Amino acid sequence: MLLAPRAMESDELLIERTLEGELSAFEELVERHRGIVYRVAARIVGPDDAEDVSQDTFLRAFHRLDQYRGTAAFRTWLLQITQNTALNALAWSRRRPTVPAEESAETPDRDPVRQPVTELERREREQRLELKLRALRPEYRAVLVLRDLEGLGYNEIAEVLEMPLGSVKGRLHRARGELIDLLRNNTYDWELPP
Amino acid sequence: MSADETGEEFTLAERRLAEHLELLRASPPITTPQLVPRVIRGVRWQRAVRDPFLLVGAVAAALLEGLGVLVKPPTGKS
Repeated sequence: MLLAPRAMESDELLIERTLEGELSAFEELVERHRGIVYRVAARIVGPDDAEDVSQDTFLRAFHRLDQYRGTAAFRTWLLQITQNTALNALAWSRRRPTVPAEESAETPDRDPVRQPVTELERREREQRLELKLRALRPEYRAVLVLRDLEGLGYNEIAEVLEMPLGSVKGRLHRARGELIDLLRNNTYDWELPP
Repeated sequence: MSADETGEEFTLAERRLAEHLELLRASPPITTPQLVPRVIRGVRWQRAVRDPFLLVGAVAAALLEGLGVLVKPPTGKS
């Protein structure tokens, strides 16, 4: 006899079960939120370190789970840890020498022959844009990723960044301005009006 | 300056930027399925190490406190 699938439990219930010692409940929480945690991490620190930052985020969340008060959504709380972990990782990586991003990311696609020209162009624009995004100062990058790439509302961003709403809007405006300047000072024409 | 459906106002350059960013939104970075087992392994390992570590710390703190009481010079008038 087939068992009926269990109804989707709320995050709060899974947190409760985790705190009672059920690791499978935490596994479900990780499965549920790994997508957004990884995307935000990857956009802030880059794809090479995103997996490590995501893992750190979930481990920190696990050890602090008893401090989660439920005043904000679990996702918001988790994104708060994600962006702090990502910014710490960036601060740490700035202390060690790395290959300049411009050199490493400008490498051509592995197999350009198989891809149509339009797809190659799209991929190239995407890579250039990712590079420029990573050239933004980290705190600008974080707010821009949360709003313009992940589509979070201003209130949730204010909770993630632990900032007043007005400051979030101001920072986002400056972040967009800085990215526009970076794109204007590029050999590639992004057709940005003055 | 123009506003979108959320009431947010954009300059022409910001609107153009939003169009460019659509390119990134359309191809989000995707995590590998290995992330979940990696996290759970990390939790298991840290839990296994953490509890004995905390116990050793608590015992050491209690010993130090006891030692402190023993070697503390007597106070009060004699």
